[in-house]
Amino acid sequence: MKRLTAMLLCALTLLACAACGGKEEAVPEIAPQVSRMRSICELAVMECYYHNVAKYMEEDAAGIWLWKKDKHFWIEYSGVVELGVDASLVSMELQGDTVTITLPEARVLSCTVDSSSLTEDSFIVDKSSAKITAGDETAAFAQAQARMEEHAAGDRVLLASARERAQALLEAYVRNIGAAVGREYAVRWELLEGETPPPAEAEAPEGA
Amino acid sequence: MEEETKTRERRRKLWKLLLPLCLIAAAAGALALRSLRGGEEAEPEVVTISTLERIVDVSELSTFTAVYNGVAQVPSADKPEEISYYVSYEAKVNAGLDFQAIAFGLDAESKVIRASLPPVHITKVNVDITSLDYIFLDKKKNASTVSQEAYRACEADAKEESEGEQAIFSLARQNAENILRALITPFVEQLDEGYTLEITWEGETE
Repeated sequence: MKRLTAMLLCALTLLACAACGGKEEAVPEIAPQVSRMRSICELAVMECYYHNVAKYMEEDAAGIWLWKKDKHFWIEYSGVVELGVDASLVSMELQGDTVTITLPEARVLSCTVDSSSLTEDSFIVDKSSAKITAGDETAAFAQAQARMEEHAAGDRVLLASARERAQALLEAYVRNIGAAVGREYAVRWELLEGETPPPAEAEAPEGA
Repeated sequence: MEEETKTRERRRKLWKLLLPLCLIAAAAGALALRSLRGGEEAEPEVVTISTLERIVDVSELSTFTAVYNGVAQVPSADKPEEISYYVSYEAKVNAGLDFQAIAFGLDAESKVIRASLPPVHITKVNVDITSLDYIFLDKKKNASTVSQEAYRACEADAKEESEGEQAIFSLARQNAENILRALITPFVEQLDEGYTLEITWEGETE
C-alpha cells in the first residue's frame, strides 16, 4: 500500500516537472537585438559612384603686362564614396511593444579616387590658356581627391538618403521579427545630431 | 479476522483501479498546462518563400544614386567636327531594380535560400541646370541663348555616359546585394541559425 502511494506521488511529481520546464528551452527568445541592428547598419553603407570635374584656374600664370595668360583647365575623374552611419553608435531600447532606436547622422566613411579614370581625354584645356605642365596636372589631381570628399560630405541629399536607408532597413527588421512571433512593434527614433565624427578613412587611389 | 482481510483486499483492488486513472488524469493535466503556456507566446514563424517575398517588399530601397558631374562637348553647327564649347554640369543618376521581381528558392534540407535578382537599369538622370559652366572655344557662342542648347547636351551626355559606365551598374548591384542580405540574414538567423543566403543575377551563370 505504501509502495503504491509512493509510486503515485513520484509519477505525479515527474509529470508536474515536465509540464513546467520543457517549453522555455524549446522556444528561443525572438525579439529585436541591437547586435543584429549593428550588422544591418554595416550592410546599409551606401557605395556611391562619383564622377566629378576638378576645375583649375590660375590668373596671370604666364606672360607679361598685356600679354599675360591664365591657366584654365578641367579634369574629369571618377571614384567611389562610401556613406553610412557609424554602426557602433547605434543603440536600442525595448519596452513592451515599443522599440526605441538611436541612430547617428550619416557621414562619409571612405573616399577613393580611381586614378585609372584619368586619361588624356580627361583634361579639357581652354584654347586661350597658358601652357599646362605635368606639375599643374598633379596638383589638380591632388585637389580633385580632396574636393571629392568635400563635395560628398556637403551633399545633404545623399547623406540623408544614406541615413534613410539605414532607418528603412532597421524598421523592416523590427517589423519582420514582430510578424514572425505575432507581435506588432512600434518604432521610435532618437536621432543623434551634431556628434563629431572621425574623419573619413583616407585611401590611396586605386591603381596608383 | 476474515472480515478485515476482505476489507484490505477490497482497498487494494480500489487502489489498483485508481492508480492508472490518476496517472491518466495527471498526464492530461500536464498536457493542458503545456498547451496553455504555449498559447501565451505564439510559435515563431518558419522560413518560407512567401515570408521572404514579404520581407523584400520595400520599394524605397530599390534605387541607388550615383553622382555624375561631367563635361559635355557641343560641336559647331556649321562644322560638326569642330567643338564649339565645353559645358560642365552636375547630375544625379538613379539606377534601380525591381525588388518584387526577385525569384526565391528554398532548400529546407540543406538550409539554403537562393535569390535570383533581375538586372539593374538606369531609371533617372537629373541634371542641375544651375550648375552649368562653360569653356568656349568659339567665343561667339557665349550668348544668352546658349543655356538651353547646353542643357540638352548635358542631359544627353549624362544619359549616354552613365549607361556606358559599368562601375555604376556594378556598385548598384553591390548595394542591392547588401540590402538583400541586410533584410534577410539577421531575420532568418534569428529564427534558425543554420540558413545561408546565395545571391545570383538573372542571365548569369554561377
